[in-house]
Amino acid sequence: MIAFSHYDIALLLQAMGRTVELSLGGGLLGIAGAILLTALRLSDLRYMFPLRMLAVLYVQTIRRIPFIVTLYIVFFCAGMMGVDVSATVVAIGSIGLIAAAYLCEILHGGVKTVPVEQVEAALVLNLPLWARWRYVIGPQALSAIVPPAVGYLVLFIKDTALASQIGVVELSQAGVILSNRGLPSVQVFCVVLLLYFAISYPLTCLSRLLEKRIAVH
Amino acid sequence: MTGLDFRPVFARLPFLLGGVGVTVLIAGLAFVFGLLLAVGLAVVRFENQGGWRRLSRSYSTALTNTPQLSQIFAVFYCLPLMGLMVSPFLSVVIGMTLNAAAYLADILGAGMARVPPVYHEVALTLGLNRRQTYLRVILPYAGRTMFPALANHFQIMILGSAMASIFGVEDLTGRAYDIGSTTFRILEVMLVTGGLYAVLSFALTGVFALCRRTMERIV
Repeated sequence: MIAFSHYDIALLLQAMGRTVELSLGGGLLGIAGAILLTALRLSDLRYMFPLRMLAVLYVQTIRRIPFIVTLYIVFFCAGMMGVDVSATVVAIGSIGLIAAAYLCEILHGGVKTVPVEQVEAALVLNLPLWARWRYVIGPQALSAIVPPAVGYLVLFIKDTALASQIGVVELSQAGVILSNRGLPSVQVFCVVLLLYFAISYPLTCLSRLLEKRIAVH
Repeated sequence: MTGLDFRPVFARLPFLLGGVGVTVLIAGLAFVFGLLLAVGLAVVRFENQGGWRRLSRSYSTALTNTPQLSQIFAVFYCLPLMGLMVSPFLSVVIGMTLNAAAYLADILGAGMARVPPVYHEVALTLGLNRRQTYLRVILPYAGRTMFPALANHFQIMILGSAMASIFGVEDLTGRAYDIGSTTFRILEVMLVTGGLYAVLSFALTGVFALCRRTMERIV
């Protein structure tokens, strides 16, 4: 029924690897960026005020711009500045930029769920900064952060499909290539969708499990 | 980074702004049809205990775990094979509708599960038939409790409708790309477009907040 040759299957698997690479790279970059942005937003130093405002503006605005537009902006910006990087790097960078904004909202919201009394008590006990975060705020905030964060990471695996628009051959683009080569479209797209499902579904289950296990209600 | 020139973009601003209407139209159509489908899916999930319920659940699982772009591609390439020649605009709307139905059914399902049991009993006591119970009691309640989630999903759909440009539809992003390829000012036009999306999204947030307040005053 399916007329896939050896090369077609190799292309699909390679493209699937690219999708995983984009998701992982973008996700890690996003987590790093989100921690930085959240630290900025939570800092109460006076001279940090402009930076704090910038962080809030960034988080609020970038979440209202379609991923594909951000992708084009980063792509052409890199081109204009003469930065010579591959389209994959541009895509990972853009995913990181957006993921940082979404994850920052989740982190910030999670930290805010920790009751003020807890933080004040830690201050009264004269715990140093790292101990406050390690023993008081961190463990309590984590239960409000991890489930939605995993849920969000699952969401944006599917956004990596848009990287095809700047020339990254990832899973959805491989489907288009195979379809244009004259393979039966229905089969090709069924296989592509199934492969995405194979990446995404285990993570969805994980997110649901985390939700049940550790989420605060 | 020298040589940013926004003048060619501003000269074509009316054309670009027209794209906002197309974007809202695509997202709006897909949302309305998606919501209708979702009501069906959610009611099936609520009423039926057997195979239909499983089918409805599987639909949501399948479509929420695959990218919307690939779904639209599948519609775009596969409908013509079935002898249905649809325009790119229509295939995008169909693809987004199918996708939205999956997410909205999950949202509505969660809302319907939150309707207090006493509502069902009251509806039964008043002698409402099943259709009336759903249309007048359960769905309005679920819609109201789930309003923020529904509004949020509409915002996601506005952003998602930018995918239409990939299929040659002249929505906001599509028109931006057009302007970019005729004026070679693609970075400038994309920056302006990003700004327009942000403004649109902030405006919608305001509209939804207003809707919510009005709704709370009426009921």
